[in-house]
Amino acid sequence: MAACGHPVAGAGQLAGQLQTAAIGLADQARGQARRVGGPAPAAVAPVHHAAPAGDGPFRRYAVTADGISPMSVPGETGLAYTADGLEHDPAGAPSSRAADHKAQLDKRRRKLLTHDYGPDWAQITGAADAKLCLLTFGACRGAVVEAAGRLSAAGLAVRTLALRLLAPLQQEALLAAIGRARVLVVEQNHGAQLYHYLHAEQALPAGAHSLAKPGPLPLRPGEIAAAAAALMDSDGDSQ
Amino acid sequence: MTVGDDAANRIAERHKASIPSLRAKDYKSDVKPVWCPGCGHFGVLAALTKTLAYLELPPERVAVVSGIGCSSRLPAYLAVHGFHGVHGRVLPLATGLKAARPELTVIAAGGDGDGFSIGGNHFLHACRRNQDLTYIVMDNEVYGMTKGQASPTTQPDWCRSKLTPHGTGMRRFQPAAIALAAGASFIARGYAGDPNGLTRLLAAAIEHPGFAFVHVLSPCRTFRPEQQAWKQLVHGCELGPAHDAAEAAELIQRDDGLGLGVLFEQEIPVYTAGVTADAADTLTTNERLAAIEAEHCR
Ligand SMILES: Cc1ncc(C[n+]2csc(CCOP(=O)(O)OP(=O)(O)O)c2C)c(N)n1
Ligand code: SF4
Ligand SMILES: [Mg+2]
Repeated sequence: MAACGHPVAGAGQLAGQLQTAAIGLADQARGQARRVGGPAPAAVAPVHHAAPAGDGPFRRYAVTADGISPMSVPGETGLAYTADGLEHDPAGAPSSRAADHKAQLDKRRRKLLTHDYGPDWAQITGAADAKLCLLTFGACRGAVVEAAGRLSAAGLAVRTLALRLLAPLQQEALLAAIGRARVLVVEQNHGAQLYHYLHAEQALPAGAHSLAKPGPLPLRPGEIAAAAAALMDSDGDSQ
Repeated sequence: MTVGDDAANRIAERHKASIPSLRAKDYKSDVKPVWCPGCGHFGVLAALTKTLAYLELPPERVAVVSGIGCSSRLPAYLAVHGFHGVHGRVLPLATGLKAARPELTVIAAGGDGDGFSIGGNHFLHACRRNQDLTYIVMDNEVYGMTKGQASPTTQPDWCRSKLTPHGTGMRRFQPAAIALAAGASFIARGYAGDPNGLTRLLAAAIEHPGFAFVHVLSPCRTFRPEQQAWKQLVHGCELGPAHDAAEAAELIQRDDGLGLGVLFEQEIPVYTAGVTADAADTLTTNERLAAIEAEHCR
């Protein structure tokens, strides 16, 4: 539950800063559970862009350096605009001009790529020089951290890394956090989607392994610890 | 053109009292419509800008939201707040906006495909929720934007689309009757070729407290050229408006579907959301439900 609250609060805040929508999804068990926890992280006020006055139409989608355009809300005089699902020019008028498409697409990419996501892109435990990194995301984190505890108690130093931000992938930070450790990507789905995604983004070191299992039965710490131990054994002392 | 007596009186009173400060053209944006020459939707745009000027609504206090279709292009042509949304989802958008910003005048607009086909379920529940919204459906009995397929209001034997070479063979969706059955508190029918009459209807709809559905016959010049004959066929609906659901049902069923005017108008409690609205509402939930049952569900 606590692990749900943080990303929900964070997503709302990000949506405010980046002018996007936030969608919260939770599994049914959590959706129906109740827990009184610590307060969610304090919200940072959304970036406020003063709306420029001028004679022409309000340029709601003006191309800006940080990719965030001025935004008004209904009620502000002279700043009405139509938000359009169709690609548009800086004033919001639907446009089929290639230059408008490129300018707006570039602007949105810039907005997402240059934003400073801070330390919340992942939750990391364990020493930087650990021999093994268990890499996961979402609801598998609990079992992964527990598996890491068991492995550490048995003498194998393990780092866990649970991604919170899947895209834009913080590739450099991810590779730095993995360091020289061997990687086991742990996830609860049939197709090893995270493992394939990270490979496609060239964000995994050579020799990374996958432990993927579909629901409904949850991944258990014992399974993860066994898979990790088997991986390290199969490597012998060569790593 | 017949507009309900109450609505007509209200409008006349207002007219006497007010000197318009903004004109219809002030509500038009600089964007040039992409509609085919002669498209009925031009008439709806003209009537809506006249209505907004007539009601003297500050542009920044008005939001027009739409779905997808030729008709749903409307918001871009207006100088008020707009949201050109997703096909069939205009009413969820409007519902959310009105719940969050009850002080705004929220107008939902779209086509027969958008509102009665993919959005049909939202239509039913918006009618029964009776939030203070105006919903304009520009009905041309066809999917205009995707080049002429049958919609729910198309005649069963219309066979001009390659998708339905023998017609759909299905009975037509009856917008006014369904709105009534679903609980709408204001139902009117207008014609895009009569912008003045439509202006009066839209003004009455916007002023109506509750969900106001305006069914506009808006011809598609390109895919339904035969609809040009509507000009001769539409007629005032002398019997309206009914203030009782049973009378309205009879009126609507007896009409040929081309009768213009306010067909039904009833004041029932308006759905509001949020703390401010609840505090202003003096009825308890049970009282509110009982009032609705007594008024509407005979
Ligand atoms: C989810 C989705 N389904 C289908 C479409 C394709 N589509 C676009 S407009 C339209 C129908 C438009 O008809 P109508 O709402 O009657 O508007 P008109 O063009 O006739 O004014 C359809 C089916 C779409 N854009 N999105
Ligand atoms: S296709 Fe029909 S509905 Fe669409 S703009 Fe042309 S005339 Fe109007
Ligand atoms: Mg249509």
